[in-house]
Amino acid sequence: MIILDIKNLTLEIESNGVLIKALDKVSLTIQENEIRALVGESGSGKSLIVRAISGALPPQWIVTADRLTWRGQNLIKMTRAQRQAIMRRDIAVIFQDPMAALDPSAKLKDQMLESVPREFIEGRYFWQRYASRLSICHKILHKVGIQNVEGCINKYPHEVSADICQKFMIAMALVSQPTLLIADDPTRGMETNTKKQILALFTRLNKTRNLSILFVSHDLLAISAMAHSMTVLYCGQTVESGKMKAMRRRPLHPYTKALMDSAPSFSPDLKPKSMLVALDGTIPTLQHLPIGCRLGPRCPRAAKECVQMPTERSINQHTYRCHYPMHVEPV
Amino acid sequence: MTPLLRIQQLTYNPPKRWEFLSPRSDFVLGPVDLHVNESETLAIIGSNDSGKSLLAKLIVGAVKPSSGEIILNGQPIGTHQSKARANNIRMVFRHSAESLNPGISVGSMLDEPLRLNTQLSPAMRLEKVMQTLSLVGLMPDYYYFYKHMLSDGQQQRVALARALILDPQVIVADEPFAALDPSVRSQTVNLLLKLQAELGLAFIFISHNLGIVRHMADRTIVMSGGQIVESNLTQTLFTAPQHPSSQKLIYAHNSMLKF
Amino acid sequence: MLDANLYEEELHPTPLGATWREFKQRHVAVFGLVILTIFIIVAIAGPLLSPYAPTTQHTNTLLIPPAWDDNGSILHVLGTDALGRDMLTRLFYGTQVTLFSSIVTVFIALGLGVAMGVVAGMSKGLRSSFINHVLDILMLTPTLLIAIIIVAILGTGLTNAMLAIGLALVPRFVHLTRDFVREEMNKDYIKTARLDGANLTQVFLFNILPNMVELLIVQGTLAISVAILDISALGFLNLGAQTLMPELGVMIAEGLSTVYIAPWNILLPGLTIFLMVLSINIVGDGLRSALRNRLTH
Repeated sequence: MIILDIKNLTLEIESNGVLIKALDKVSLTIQENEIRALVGESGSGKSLIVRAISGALPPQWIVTADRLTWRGQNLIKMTRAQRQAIMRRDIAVIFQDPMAALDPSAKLKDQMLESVPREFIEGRYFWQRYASRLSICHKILHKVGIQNVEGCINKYPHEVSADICQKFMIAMALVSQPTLLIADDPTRGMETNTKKQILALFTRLNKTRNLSILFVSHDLLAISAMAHSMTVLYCGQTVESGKMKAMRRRPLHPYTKALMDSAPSFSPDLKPKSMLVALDGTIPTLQHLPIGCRLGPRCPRAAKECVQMPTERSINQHTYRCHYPMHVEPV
Repeated sequence: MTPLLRIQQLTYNPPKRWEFLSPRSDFVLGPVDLHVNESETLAIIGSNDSGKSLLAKLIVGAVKPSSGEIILNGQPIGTHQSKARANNIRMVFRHSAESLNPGISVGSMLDEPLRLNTQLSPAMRLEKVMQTLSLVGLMPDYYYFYKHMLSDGQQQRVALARALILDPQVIVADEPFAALDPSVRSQTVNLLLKLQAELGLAFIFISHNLGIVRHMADRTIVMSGGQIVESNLTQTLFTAPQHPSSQKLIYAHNSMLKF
Repeated sequence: MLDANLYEEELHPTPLGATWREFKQRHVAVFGLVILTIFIIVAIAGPLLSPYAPTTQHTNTLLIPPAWDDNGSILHVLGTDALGRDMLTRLFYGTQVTLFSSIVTVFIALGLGVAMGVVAGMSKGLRSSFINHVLDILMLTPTLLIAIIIVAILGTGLTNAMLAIGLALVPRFVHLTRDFVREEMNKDYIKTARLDGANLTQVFLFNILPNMVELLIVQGTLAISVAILDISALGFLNLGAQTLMPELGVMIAEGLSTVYIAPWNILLPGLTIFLMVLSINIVGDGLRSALRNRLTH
């Protein structure tokens, strides 16, 4: 069952008198119990999508979409209060750099206790409620795999290591028992051991608690280890979307292939110290967006048609947007 | 073949401070032995507090070692601030908002090392700067650009140009790829490989990205707790790590590859 | 008309140019700049254009109101004071004295303050923090009070007043410079400069100073407004410029005795001071916002 359905989401903002489309007809769906990866480099608009879902966009952004629904409810038409209610209970977001996201002047215990929703607390008197809150926190912290809960909970954020911080953020996000966890690049800059623990935690949570995860990142190694399906975003446009295995084996869009090539671990036959296959050029800035398919200027297979935005086509649930896809006969 | 750069018994002890004033840093590095040959790439991996950045700073001369010798081309390099070292071992810092000076143009940034370390006339300096800019793949117009006009990849290239401009023999880089996007990272990797092939540079870099390490490095060193615990050819290390710390790293990396 | 520069539709200015472009967009700031420019022109060229000398007393035209009043005369456009001296001329000379003396004062304070701040910022440990904390205590007291104390020691007169106010302004520049230098010294690009073999002076001149210039300009501008007020205040109290000199504060003090019959003697110098300080503050504020926003647009 589809829980989050985004179709043709367009985000525009006015800059110097011109309307710029930061997101251009972006489509994304998340099923129940699914881990979906949203891959894109900087400037692709991943953080904008996260903010559009959570409703945290500043008012000057113009949001239009064919569908932006959560469990069938239209997110755009909702009032602010309803949106906030959903964000509080059903969707949780965690960010990169956990140490910066936590309050540096409060102990971890206080921060956790604050975030327990009122519905779960039992007890009439305040000491009963405090005990109930504390026990819920302890349970969740054990679940995310923090070994020494008693010791860690009384420390400040800068006194604990990065992986404990991130697990703590995940615990705080889980305490309201959400259905969807949006993780905005949580493993950025982490070393390998820590990254593996966090990714293992995500997989476990997905299996045991039926938690869907939207994992936003550009770290392909982390994503391929964990995600069931992937959506690739380039410069505000979705270029390819589908099951992870299929995309890894047969990427249809040139950009997806370029991303796969940028991680040498995916090409085991690559000779050491040989040149990696890379796209020329850099990601265009918001002021200089190309018309039509935005990869056009950089794409090695570009031709005249590419100044027009290609329509979305799909083969076996593997959707792509390209006039000259790879491995497929052009229509 | 005599190694280009050899480090012998390098140690670093934190300076003695008043007990109650100093933070608890009793991190002792070393003794460390390593060497690197011409046109060779050496990678240093390890967990976050293993002392990798400190070792890089010791090699480059930003921090003075407590004991040990650094021998370049057979000649020991003396005190930690000397012209020979500045010219031959150069550092590329971790890409951050602070690695380039925001108030001066790219041309001035590249001109400064020349002005301080060589006797070239202004015209010759300009030519050298332009030459280096084209070597790293930037257009001559970038001479007049400021830091805020450059993208991440271009800033990294400027940092690289600043390291290359004195024609060094060794470049030390502290996590040069960490903050870059995949496509820019591929381009930077290709650039470094090309420069190494053309100029015969020796390259020492620290990284967390074991995929890139496996692809680029000839030899790899694993550090833990301030010591080098394993040092081997990259392919051998990645297929059969010996030390528990390296095993932990390599197995973690490999587990992410299969699914 | 063919333009060879096909690619650059937007300009890529230097940081200074970006600051100016940001500044131009705030119309209030540009308005303040216009007024300030008028004052500077008056201060430079006014005395050459004034019809009379500031000290000549026209004994038969005492206390004449400004020209738009019924009793006024066009010969003295802004009236005369109790001794028959022409108000317009005195305002011109007064602006010159006040503006120039405050600019000189701030320059001296800047020079001293930056020098001390740089030394303090680059050294570590007890030496540098000692200067800072001692000067921080000085920053608690209003500059006027410190200036009065120094004038009480040195004696009255415009030069002594300038010295006193200059010394009173030094602590804030020291504090500013030391904080900035300290922060910059930790940054990677300074480390690369030092690795390249630059000594501390070269590091300061070529690497830190370009980043510091705009900050100094903003703080200097705001310090000029403080200096104007203090010099006028000291002149008013007869502790700075003495009665013979055409200084705006002195003019207000002299006009006090005849305030009910000739209010323009106080109003006009007061208005001049007010406009000067206002325009400088607006410009300083505009510069500060322009500096903050220049790289994000």
